[in-house]
Amino acid sequence: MRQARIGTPAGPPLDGAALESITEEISSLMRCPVCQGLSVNDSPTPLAAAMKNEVRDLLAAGYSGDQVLEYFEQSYGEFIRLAPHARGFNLTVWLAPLALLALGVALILRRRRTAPSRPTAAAADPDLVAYRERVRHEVGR
Amino acid sequence: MATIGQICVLAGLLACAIGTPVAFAAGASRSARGLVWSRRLALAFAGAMLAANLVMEYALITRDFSVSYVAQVGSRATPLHITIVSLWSSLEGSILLWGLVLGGFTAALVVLQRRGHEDYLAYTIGTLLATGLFFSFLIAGPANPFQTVSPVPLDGPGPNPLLQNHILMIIHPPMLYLGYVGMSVPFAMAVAALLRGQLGATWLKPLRNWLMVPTGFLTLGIMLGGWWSYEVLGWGGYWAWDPVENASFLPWLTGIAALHSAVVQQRRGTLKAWTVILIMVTFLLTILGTFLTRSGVVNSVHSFTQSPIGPLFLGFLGIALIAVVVLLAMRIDTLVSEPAEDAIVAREGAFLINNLLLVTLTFTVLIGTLFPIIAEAVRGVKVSVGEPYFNRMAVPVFFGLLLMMGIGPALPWGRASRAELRRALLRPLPAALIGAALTGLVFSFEWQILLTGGLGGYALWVTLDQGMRPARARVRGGEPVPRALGSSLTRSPRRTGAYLVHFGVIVTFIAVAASASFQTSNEATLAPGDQLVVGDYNLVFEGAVNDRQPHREVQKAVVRVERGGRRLAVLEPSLNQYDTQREPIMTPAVRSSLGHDLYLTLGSVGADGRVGLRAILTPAVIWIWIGVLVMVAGTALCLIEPRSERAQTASAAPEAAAT
Repeated sequence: MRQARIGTPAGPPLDGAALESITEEISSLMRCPVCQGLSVNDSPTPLAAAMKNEVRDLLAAGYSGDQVLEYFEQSYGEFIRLAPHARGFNLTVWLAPLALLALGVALILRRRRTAPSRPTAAAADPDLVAYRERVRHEVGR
Repeated sequence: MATIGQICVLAGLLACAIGTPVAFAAGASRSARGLVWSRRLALAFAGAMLAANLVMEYALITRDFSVSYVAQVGSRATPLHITIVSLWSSLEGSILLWGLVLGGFTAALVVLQRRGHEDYLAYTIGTLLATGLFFSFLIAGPANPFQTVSPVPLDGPGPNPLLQNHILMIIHPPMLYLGYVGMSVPFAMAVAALLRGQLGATWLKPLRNWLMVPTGFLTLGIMLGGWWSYEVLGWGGYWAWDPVENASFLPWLTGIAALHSAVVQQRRGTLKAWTVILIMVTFLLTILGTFLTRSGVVNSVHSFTQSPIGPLFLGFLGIALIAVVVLLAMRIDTLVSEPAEDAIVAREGAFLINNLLLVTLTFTVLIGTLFPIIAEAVRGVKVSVGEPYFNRMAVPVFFGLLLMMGIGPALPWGRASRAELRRALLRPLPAALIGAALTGLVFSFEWQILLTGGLGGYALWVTLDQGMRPARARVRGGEPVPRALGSSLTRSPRRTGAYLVHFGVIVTFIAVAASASFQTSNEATLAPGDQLVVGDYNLVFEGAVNDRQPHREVQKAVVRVERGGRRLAVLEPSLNQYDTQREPIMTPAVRSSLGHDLYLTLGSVGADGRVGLRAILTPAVIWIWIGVLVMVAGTALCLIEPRSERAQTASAAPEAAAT
């Protein structure tokens, strides 16, 4: 049944500490279906415990982490993955912040290049000059 | 009672409805009489909100079930202190409290900001009253807690048990509200500045304080929320990147960005538009957050209500957004700062990068929180965006911020020679090496841990070096050390406060990194006498106990905690079954120490007396709370006016507006 859905185990069987650590790793990528956004690894509910055991069994049999996630995705849908697939429309959520960061860096660099060499604007503002004087005094310089 | 409450709310609504146009007109005509009246109406709004809240408290305490909100959250079996705080246990009550907090901030502004903000005050009050108009409309109409119930029920269901279950729930929501609602004041000031077309020092100085206060409350509120979730929800963590947690995190991030960009504006006269935009975004994010958590569009452990007021918040958000965009477009000429001679490798450059990182983080958290809604709309598929996404995206930014917290304050303002820069940046390096070595020895030699320790050590050195500078100068000048420390607090409280905040951030950062990386846990089903081992602790299950209380049944597992054969404590994790609820609520038992926390949860109690017990060992958790408290203390210190300046304000005539 399992084999029909996710193929044959990709690697050798696992046990001991290696199995436990990868079980935690994979189950923290899965959403507990009855909780509000907690992972299967974190959730204290019985369903999450059962799912974690299933993850452990699959990994022990030698299935890879990706295969295990695939297996659960077939039952629960994409919803089960706490980190969405990085493909198609989902790329937005992964790439948009990077795009913003790049834009920001470009703006900062441009700002520097276009800044002409002349006294600062604040120096021309008597109110601010007095205020800055006080600030300097306050910080003890 | 319901009628009296109604009257109070309507009085508040009326005060706002009249006060808003009066204040804006007073602003436009610079009329002194108009300003006096807008002040009075602002105080009337605050008074009406206070009265409405007191009436509701009275109704709750006297268990007047004819008032709809009391019928909804009250119950005869609920203890008094829980009854008092049920004011914010459900939607209508929390909106009512929101009204009180908004009224309180408005009154505080009117009373405290008599001097130094005259040019802007009328517009500021007008904007606050316009916000008040929306909230008193909510309280009077769609979220009315004062409806009359007939026939009067004999008893009510009581507040949500998750809220009854822990003492932190008493203070966490009000703190968060003080932060959320408080952001209306800097927003109102920003609107006033745009309407006036001036952003001078008499605007910037008060703004800084009115921004600092809500940011401090938000810091405290977020921390208490995390602590509550740690002590109550039973999964052993304090932050799950839950939508509601994110909603409180977003305005905090932009608020902090605004505080930092205001420093640059103060020192260099640049970044004016940027500061204004950040403040406006902060306010919009508080409204968006309220919408997200109150409308039920996102799933969360913290949203206890779903209600029809969601669309109204969305509408308010839309109106506010349009107003902000129009205002900014109108004043674009005032806002464009004259290009300054800004160096990148200088303090101001570090501030820019700090702002960029904070904004990137804000955007990441925002898009991650909203993406499930977007994806469902676009693809028709339910998608989750949870902890693994946020950790992967946010952790590098956190490292960047920690790096800037070290580099930024080490750099001088303005252009400096290469030699100066090299000296400033290299001097803290030994501290970085020591930090990395120490964390490596205590925890492990993994690269993230070494990086945290290294950056933390660097930032810590710079923070202490800069923060102690005034005190050191005094010691060199011959003052004894304790007096030098004391007078550096009174003479330069802002500088000391700011670096104290940074110190708290570094402590929190390292504690979060350690607690997230080195959790160990174990679980088992135990019969009385059985043992569970976690770390070097030996947990002996002594037996299950049933405790019947008036409003709930508590099933406890009595667990003896031993280490190295020595008996340390008895912990009693429990399952609390509230009479009004189907599912029992897991209540963990926590034993905190400076090194690590032992966290026990009871999963199940079988008929044969066997229990399912889970034990989690997490290092450094307590340092997160301590670090945040240090941040809050530092923020409070920043609000103190230095002695020299107080004398000046008292003697000087009201400052003339400039720019």
